[in-house]
Amino acid sequence: MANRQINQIHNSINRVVHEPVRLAILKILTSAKEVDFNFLLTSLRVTKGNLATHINKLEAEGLVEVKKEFVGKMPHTSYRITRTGRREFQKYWENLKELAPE
Amino acid sequence: MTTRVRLYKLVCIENWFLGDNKMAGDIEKDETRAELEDLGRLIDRYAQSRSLPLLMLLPIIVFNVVLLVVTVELGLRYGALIGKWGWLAISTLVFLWVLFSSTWLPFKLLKRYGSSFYRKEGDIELKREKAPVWTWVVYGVTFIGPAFLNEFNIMPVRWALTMSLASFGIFILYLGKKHKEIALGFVYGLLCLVAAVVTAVGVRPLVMGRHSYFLSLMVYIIIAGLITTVAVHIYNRVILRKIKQVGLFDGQQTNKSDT
Repeated sequence: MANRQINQIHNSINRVVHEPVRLAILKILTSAKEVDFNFLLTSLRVTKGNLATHINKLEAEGLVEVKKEFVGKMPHTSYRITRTGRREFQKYWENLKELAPE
Repeated sequence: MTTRVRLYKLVCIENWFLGDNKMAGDIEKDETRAELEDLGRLIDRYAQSRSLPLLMLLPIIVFNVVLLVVTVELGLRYGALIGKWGWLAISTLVFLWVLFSSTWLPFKLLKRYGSSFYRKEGDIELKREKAPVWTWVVYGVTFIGPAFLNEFNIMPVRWALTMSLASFGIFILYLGKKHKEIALGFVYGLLCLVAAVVTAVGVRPLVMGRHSYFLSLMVYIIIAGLITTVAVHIYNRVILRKIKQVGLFDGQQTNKSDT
């Protein structure tokens, strides 16, 4: 692969998706319709603050959608992947495939 | 090599492409992806095997069984006192309640309170498909039809029970697939089909007497439901343990937002 082509692919890699925790969050969100904060904590086993930071980043980039509501008196936050998020996640793997062929 | 290390290597892909080709062999892109796919599969299985909300239906079923038996008994004893129209009104109300409490109400209850059984682990909702109306109609006819056929002495208890149990089992299997409750639907449906086969080969219904068809049917459905709840819940715990074992980041303070 020519260096210029590699450069192009590298530049098109989404840095927000590239981070491992965010990559795992997106993977979970692509398999579900909606997931809440506790579920992400249980399955990823990261700290609350860390998870919140990553989710904020994903939300700021428009990759996930946040829904805040009250269940009884308790606040409940759930997340779902946006169409952009799904597309970016797919594109990310395709780019990786091109960078590191079989 | 742990997943953490593989994911770290994924982050290092930039170094590799920048010319440090010795990294090329190290980056196990496919393995990393495979592990994320595994996590996705485990989560899918975990979300599809949450069986405890099924327990919410138990009081409704038991209440309906008692209500129907009491109504029929009262009707037989005091039918003359109540009068034809009074009896018709009571039967219609009971029928409407049973219909409402076995279709709309369970769905509402499961949607509203289903996740409260798993509050600690968090909630996950999968993309579910709705079963088309015609399948509900076919199920309704094949499930309730034998009750009337049995009541009018057209069909013996044995075959009426077999037909209702088979209809229930097949519909639960189908609904499990459509509503993404595969583990639940599979175990429950299979148990009901086993009960149907057992009845068909001539094993005596569990309850004998005036209400042998109806009570046996309900007892089979309740027992199968309880076994399903326990079995699927155990399976769910196993899957949850596996998810925790994957432990991608294991409580560590991974690098914070980097851009």
